[in-house]
Amino acid sequence: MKQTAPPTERDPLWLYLHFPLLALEAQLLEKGIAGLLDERGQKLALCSYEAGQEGLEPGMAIATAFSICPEIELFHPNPERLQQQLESLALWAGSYSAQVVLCPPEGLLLEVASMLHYFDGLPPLWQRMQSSLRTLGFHIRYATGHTPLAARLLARGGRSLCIEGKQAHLQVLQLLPIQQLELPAKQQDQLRGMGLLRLEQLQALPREAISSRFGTQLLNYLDRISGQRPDPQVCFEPPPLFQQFHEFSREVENSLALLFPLRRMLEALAGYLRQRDLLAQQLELILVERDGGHQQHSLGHAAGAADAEVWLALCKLRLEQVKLEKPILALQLEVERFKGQQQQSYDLFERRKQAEDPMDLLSRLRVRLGETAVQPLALSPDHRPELGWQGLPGRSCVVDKVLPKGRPGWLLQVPQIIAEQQLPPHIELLAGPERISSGWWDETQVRRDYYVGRWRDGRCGWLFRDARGGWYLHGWFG
Amino acid sequence: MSTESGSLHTLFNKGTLWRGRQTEGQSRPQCLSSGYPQLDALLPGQGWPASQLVELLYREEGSGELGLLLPLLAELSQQERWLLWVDPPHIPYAPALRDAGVNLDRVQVVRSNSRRDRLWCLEQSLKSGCCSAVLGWLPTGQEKAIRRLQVAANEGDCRGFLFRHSRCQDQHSAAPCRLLLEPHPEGVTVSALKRRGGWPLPPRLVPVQSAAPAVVAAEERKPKRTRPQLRLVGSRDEADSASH
Repeated sequence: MKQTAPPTERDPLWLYLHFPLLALEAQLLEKGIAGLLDERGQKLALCSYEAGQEGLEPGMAIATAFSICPEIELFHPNPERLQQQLESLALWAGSYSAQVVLCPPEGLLLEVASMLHYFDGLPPLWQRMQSSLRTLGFHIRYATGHTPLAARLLARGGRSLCIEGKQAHLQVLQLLPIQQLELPAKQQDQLRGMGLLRLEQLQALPREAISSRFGTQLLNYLDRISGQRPDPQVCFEPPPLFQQFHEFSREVENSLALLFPLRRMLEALAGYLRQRDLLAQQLELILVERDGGHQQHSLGHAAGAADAEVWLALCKLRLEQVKLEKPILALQLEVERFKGQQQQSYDLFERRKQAEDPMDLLSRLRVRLGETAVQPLALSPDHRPELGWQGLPGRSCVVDKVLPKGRPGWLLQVPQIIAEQQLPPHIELLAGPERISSGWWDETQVRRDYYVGRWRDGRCGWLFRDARGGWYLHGWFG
Repeated sequence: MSTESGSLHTLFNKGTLWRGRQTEGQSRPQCLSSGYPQLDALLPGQGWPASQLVELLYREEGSGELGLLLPLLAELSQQERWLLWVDPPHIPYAPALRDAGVNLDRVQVVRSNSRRDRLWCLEQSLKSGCCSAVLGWLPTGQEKAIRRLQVAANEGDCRGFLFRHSRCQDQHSAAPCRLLLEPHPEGVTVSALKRRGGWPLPPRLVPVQSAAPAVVAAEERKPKRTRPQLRLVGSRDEADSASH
């Protein structure tokens, strides 16, 4: 929409997200033909999009549904799971708005006016939300509104509206049918009996007439829709601890099938972290097995990350290696360690092509190869060669002065024994001896004379004779 | 005549025909000198190529494979990016690297559990863009893997060095540059088995003296201990000359 007069920043703007299929989608493990049964378990209450494509529709009897599509997966209503999923979505919405309101059973209200500047306008913000919801597999109806109620009514009426400005919203609201006002059935009948079909007709009535006929309640309601009366909202408070639990409606036997529910959890995590300005450094992933046992996996990120994609990549690496011996019934995600967000500065003129964060690479290597697989090299102040190369964390490179000269590039893990008769013809000693005697204070005392020797093929090695006169090879000059 | 030059162009475009001196000028800015003029002369573009794999073939460790690379590693370690060593056969000895000028803060050593993990790790780090050089040790074969690694190196703008046994020299490899190293009393003889934009070159001696500092250091140490003796001898000489 072209803006005639740019709305001021303080113009209130709300976005309502209505998830019509949430009761079903909260239970799904992947996209597919599925349906949700009604309370009595006899008819379909909801159908997934794929089921709709097959010709199934809400209200159908189970038998009919099965005869049309035998592979349909059916679920019983699970209000607890629905609430969980809605709260998880509220966390997700934390990535986009600081004020999120739960509208159970299946709606979310977001305050967006204050976010427009940050996201560079409404269309970019909405595009990001929409693509995120699509990958998470949720269907939505949405609308903006200048009041919370306007947004709600327009969204639930299926308007798919994404505009700014009070006047624009009031224009759309005028055409709203009376039956979409979510009024009690009796009042709706009364209004219809009066020949009123749209909101504008109701608003055109004198205020006294409305209050005398229907009571002040309806008048207040109408004022809240139009914005003449304030409509305070109670915002969703994220819990102090981040913990997500998803009990599956069926058993999962392939570890990679866990990625779909995991993605939803990680998106919720991203929103949670974003809102609190935190990073997660370690996650605990708990897979609950059929017999009550569980597998626990710790995943770490070296620098801390909030992004769902980064964590998903790490989870995928770990899950690829996991063998499920027993089917999995539930999945739990917790954050073990948080870290404060640190703003990084980037070089404006650096023109390296999309270099990855080194900490991301480090984390991925550690997740796949093991926590100790990647080690830095450092000097350590010990004269014994086998101890002089790996610093302890936090104590690196303190030994500028005592840096020994003329050491070989390769050090053998274990000194290799050399038969003495090999020495004179095969190895020509070029330099030495250099006495290294150290470690009398602990178990591994050494007293060695080091030499540089040239092998017949021209290679040079670092060898020593120990106190007992045995010859060993300890390194190669590579 | 025009058709001939046209067909010549198609051959150029296909890459089946190349101009002998063309690569030198083009790729020079990306190449870093190896620190040895003799080796630079062997390498296409007068230095270690960027964003490419280089294969170094030798029989056993100690054939000068580190000595050839250390000047480059020292230079690259001044950058922000990492130098990643994947499964080196022995411990890369920190004092020696430091002595050669390598900034150890940039060096990371990875120990993988299996050959599959090693290839995965090499590929990930090559294409991540956060390593300036990745050093890997690969067994024979691995033709397909090397092709993938070459693509990854290109993608991540990273120098990849593959260290392999010299018995791989007859196997096909996608690495654009392959060097065979043989130890020599005065350094290393390097033969270019394959190089982009040039033909294979016969062995050439590169004076890498990786053990030389050790010998020099040992020499330096010796006089210290014998200095009192020298002084004694000197004084006797003086006494002798005085008596003459």
